[in-house]
Amino acid sequence: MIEIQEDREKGRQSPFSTPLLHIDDLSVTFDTYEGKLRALENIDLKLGNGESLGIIGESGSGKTTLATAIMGLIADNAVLGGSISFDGNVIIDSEHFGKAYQKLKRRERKILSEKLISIRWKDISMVFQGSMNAFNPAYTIEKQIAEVFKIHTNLSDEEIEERSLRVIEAAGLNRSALKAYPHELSGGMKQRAVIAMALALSPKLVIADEPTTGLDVITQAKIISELKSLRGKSINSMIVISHDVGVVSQLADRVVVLYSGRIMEVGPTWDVYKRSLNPYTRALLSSYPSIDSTRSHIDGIPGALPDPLSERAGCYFAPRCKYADTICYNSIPELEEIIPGRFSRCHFAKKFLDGEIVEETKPHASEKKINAMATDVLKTDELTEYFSLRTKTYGQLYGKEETTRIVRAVDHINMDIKKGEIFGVVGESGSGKTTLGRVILKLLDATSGKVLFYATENNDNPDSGNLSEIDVTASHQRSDQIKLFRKETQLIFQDPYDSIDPKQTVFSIVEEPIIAHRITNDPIKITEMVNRVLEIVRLNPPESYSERYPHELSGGERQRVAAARALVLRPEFLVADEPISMLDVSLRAGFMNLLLELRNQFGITVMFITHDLASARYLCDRIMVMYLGVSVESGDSEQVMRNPLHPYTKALIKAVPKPNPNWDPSKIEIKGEIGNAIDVPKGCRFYRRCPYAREICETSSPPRKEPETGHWYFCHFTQDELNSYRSFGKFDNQE
Amino acid sequence: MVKDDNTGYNIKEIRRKRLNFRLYQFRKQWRIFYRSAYGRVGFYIILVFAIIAILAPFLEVHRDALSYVAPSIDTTVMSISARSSIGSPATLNSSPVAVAASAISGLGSNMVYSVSANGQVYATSLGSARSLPAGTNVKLFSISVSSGSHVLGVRVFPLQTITSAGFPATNNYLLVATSGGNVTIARLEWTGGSEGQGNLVASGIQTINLGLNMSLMPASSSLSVDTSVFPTIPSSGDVFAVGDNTTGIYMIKIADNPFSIIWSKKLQISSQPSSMAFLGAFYQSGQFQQIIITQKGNIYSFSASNGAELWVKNTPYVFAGKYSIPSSYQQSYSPYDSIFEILSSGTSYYIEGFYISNGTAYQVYSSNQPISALSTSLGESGFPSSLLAISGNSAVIISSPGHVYGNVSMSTKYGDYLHNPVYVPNLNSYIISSQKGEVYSLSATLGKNPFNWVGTISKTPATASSPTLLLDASSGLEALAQVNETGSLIVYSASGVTVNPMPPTLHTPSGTTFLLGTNTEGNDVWSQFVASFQPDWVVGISVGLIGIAIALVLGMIIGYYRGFVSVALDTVTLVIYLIPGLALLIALTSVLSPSFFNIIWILSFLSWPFTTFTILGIIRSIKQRAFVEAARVSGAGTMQILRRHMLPNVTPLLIYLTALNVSGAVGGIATLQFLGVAPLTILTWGAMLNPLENNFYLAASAPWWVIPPTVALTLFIMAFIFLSRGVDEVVNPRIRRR
Repeated sequence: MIEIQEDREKGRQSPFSTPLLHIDDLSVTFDTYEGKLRALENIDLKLGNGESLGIIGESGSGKTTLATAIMGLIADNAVLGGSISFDGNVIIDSEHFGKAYQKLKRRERKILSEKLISIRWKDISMVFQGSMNAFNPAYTIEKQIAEVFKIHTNLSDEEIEERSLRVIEAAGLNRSALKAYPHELSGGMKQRAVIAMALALSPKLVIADEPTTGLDVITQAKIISELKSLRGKSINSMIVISHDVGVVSQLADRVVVLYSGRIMEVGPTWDVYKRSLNPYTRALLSSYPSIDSTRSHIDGIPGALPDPLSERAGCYFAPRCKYADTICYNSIPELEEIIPGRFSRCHFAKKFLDGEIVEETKPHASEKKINAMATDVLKTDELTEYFSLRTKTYGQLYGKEETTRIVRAVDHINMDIKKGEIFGVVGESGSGKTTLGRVILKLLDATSGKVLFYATENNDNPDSGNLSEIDVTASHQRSDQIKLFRKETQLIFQDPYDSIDPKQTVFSIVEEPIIAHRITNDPIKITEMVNRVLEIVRLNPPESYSERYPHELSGGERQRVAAARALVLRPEFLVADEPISMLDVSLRAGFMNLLLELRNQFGITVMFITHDLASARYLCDRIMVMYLGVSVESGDSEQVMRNPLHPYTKALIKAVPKPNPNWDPSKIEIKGEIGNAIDVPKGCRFYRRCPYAREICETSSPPRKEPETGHWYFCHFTQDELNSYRSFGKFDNQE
Repeated sequence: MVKDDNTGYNIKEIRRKRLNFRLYQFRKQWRIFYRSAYGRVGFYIILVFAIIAILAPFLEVHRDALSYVAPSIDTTVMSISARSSIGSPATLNSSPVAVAASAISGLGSNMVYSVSANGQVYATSLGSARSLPAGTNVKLFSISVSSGSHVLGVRVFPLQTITSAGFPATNNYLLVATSGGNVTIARLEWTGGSEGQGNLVASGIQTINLGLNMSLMPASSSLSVDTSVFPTIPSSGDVFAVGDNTTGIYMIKIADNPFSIIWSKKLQISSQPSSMAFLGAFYQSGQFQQIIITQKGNIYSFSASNGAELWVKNTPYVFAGKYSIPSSYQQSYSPYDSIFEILSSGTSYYIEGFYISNGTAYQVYSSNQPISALSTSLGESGFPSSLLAISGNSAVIISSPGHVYGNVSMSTKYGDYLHNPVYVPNLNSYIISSQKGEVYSLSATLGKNPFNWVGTISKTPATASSPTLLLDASSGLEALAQVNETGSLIVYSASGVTVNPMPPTLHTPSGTTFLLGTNTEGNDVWSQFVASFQPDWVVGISVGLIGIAIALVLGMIIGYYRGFVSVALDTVTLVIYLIPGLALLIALTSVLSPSFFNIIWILSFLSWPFTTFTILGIIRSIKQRAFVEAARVSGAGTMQILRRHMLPNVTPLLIYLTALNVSGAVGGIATLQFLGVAPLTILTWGAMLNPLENNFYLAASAPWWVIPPTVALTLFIMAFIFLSRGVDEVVNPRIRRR
């Protein structure tokens, strides 16, 4: 691996002699009403020709500001310091951008704009974050790619057509994609189209800002593989910006770690990953639950990013750093070159190098064995949820088809969740995980099937209490049984920014279930209950949190507030719907540990819905893999991860990008994307994407096979058969 | 982890904490609001408006702003119809002699006649004749004024003459006399033969020297009296003069045609009389025509036909020489016909009436203050309806002998009121002129504002002649003429002229201030303006609140629920929303009676659809937010969700929309009143602007009236829009980010 790295170094010009892009002491400060927001401080970076630079950082670390600064798209309220030169020429300086732009004369602005047009896209292009919004929905992809040529070149229409075709094919898309409107393309295809557009003029530098965020795991793997294969061909130099260590590790030669607008560490990717010389990088890297190493405890990073508006002294990371000393709070560490090519901003960087500070690995916290004989808390029996796409009146008036189209969101799901376990539901977006969670909680009425909930009648003594069975689907919304059910079940939502009312204080948010269930009217009791639960979710001290509004909280704190609301009545069963997907990496581990703790401490049963296999593995006792509304595999989480049975599970696990040079996403043999659950195949749902698919798969539903106890999957084939069919699998790049 | 129940919390502390927290939050949001320039400006404007509205009862000068009409003295000024200069006017007793004019139409009326100190007789045109514009002087003739003598005055008297064509016509004659005993009469004629044709000339000028030393202007048997009296104009007129020579005091009667002495009678008095009056100018029979002379404490009556003494009355007082004879007494003989004289005795002053039949005296008024002048109304039946006495600087109206109807004081700034006031019958008012030319029009009925108008006949005070009543044929109204010592002659209308809309005035004759002037009706604009604040606030706030309440309920129902009711309400709202607002507003206002409360309801009715749509959009979007679902998972019912989640999230929007609704409502009622659909009895800025609808010229001619409500309306509406923008900053933190 390291040899390959060195080969690359030799193959190109030395990055430090004639840099393609030179960011020289760049600082960006935004003037806001609240004060001066210091987005970037003294960024010094050199990007060699042909080099790929990765920028890692949590949200708020200044990654995107850096990218927009390079493109000259910085907002008008910014004050710039330093400069950025491209190919030896200064393109961005403090006299022409940000606030200074407003003072420019009209003629100067025109000159500047012409200069930028000549650089943008021709020399530097960008793959924007969020491919969904990168295209105008009113024009075809071809028109939008052709626009790039029309603005920057003098090519004729025929040439443009030919060039467009060439770039779109280079990005791995079929030519038919050119004639499509953005909404007709899947997320992955759109992302490819965005890449095609960025590559249209063969720029010297491509900036990819979170190129795979928002994509499903398998698609993400494919995009990464696509970008990798384009390196050296269409892509010369590249800056990859991502919060995902896996993505950056796969795409970058050198990595820059940003924290709160400062560079914390710079160095060759694998070197940084293997022996980081900065506590932040170390903490960040260890925040990721691993999918292939041992199941060890991860800590996350306590606290949150410092407020960029406030005056800060010393090392910004010091308050969250476990190695922090007085010196860290008082003096700003310099970005020092510790060993050639390796820079770190830490007072103790040398100690990391010398191995004086060694991280100890802790055992996984969740080793509470779930008794196989434990009682069920929740059971579903052929639970089904179909949505019809057309309302009745509309269908009758304008319907041309006889039958309304049906979305099979959840299709005959059987599962049982044992008391005190964390049950993971894993799948790509569109697989019906969230709908399942909602049907179980009776937020949606099931089309057919049953949800049975076993409530402990005596809450104080759960072990001895009698169980009462609540038929959730059959009970009326206002029945006493549902009232009890509501009290005993709770939901934590994906988006902590949306799931708590911005107009309520933390106290009001948390007291909501108390008031709703008329537990008590006594303000003292309510205060007590709220404060207790805030302490449980580690919002300490509760008094300082209870009178805050959501916008005064960080994402992690918000999610804790949501958890506090869910827990205030001590429910037995909690559905956590992607609770960590919107959180910053450093906060995810903390929240997961909280869930584990809740389970261990209070015996709360959790249904953990996620698309992230690594966190599912870290957290869950058992998992169920869903695909297009059906469950394809279920079993003990370690079993499923180590020995996936279903072809889909196998691919999913393979697709998770790992900070490991041996990871090769091109080996994933699955075709296309998940699609929708409207026109599902008659037989196996996975038929269309399955590399092992046979005729039988198309026509008949796969049977359930259970090679190990408690670990089953739905497939026509046994593992041996699958292994032998493997040779038939043919990777098809066409989507 | 669990706090001790007894020490950890107590209700009071929790409540106090919550209150503090609320206050803290409010202060925080207030700071954000206040930081926005829009919000700040809006807030202060609204504050000012609110303060004015609260203080309106104290600020408005007249509580009945709607019906209050400014006193005419403030809004009426002297209306000068002609102005000219005659050089140096003849003076008598150091004040210019009164000009002469005819109140009886006939050749020679419509002119004002004056005489200069050197005997030149002028005629000044009132402008009825095209050849002579108003103010043009015509030199008629001049009389010789021998040294040591002076002009006594000039009089006009009408006589019935037969034209060359044989028709009877009224001619006015001029009578001029000097103290040297020269008496001149002249007939006034137009060279064109009829009124206003050609030039005015004096023909048949005849002068006679009586050989007497005269101090009183001779009297003629024909008089020029008020226009309301329709006298039978006699065909011949006599002139009576009193004077002395070395042999004694003589009274002489002179016939007009030929101008010759008929008789001369030696009077048995010791000194020159103080006054001489001819009574019975238009009597059908000449029997009771008499000449009344006062001298010291005596009053004499002589027959006009033969000079025989009819009666004599000796009083212990002294006659001041100022008398008044009601015009009607000149017309027909009645037993009550009297002459009113001013008398004095030491520091006591009296007005006495003397029956002309026998000289019996009766006291009309007595005072400790010097009585300087008097005047009477027509006296058609018995004692005149009013008798005006000027006592000191106050004008006393006497309704019957011994009975003071009322009095009113006048300024002494412009000298004493020595001239007899002139009664203007059509206006039932007196024109009082001060020695220095300050002129008051006093209503004979006095009332709350007794003076109709006030004016001066010269810019700098100068001794003025007494006023002379005349008929201004060009306007058909009574006018008065006066001349002052500088020779400037002024003819002015008795009714004055209204200056409404009047510009802002701080000092007015009545003492009222008009900060914003008056409108065409004479209402005080300031009072109306200030009084408009409250109704406008009431309309704005109530419509804003009613509208927002309806909109909130409907918005929540439509936005949150699904089903027939929701769709039906949605449709109804849409229907109302789609009908053009102004048309619906006018239609509804016309159909329902446009009372104040109806207008509030109508405006509320029209304001909710837009608000509802805005709110329901927000409600629908909030409904999709995860926290609503979270509340449902928590077991919250619909009402709890609406109250705890929907309401707080739309509240800032509600403030925003209420602000817009308030300004919309004020604009709405202004529109209705401007267009005249709503009654103007509701005082609002719109009502004040109503007259502008068909007279845009007002905006230029009376800006003090039009600008304040316009500015107030604009500011009020703008302030609420500013306010809503300020609230917007609080509500949408993203806006303030940059």
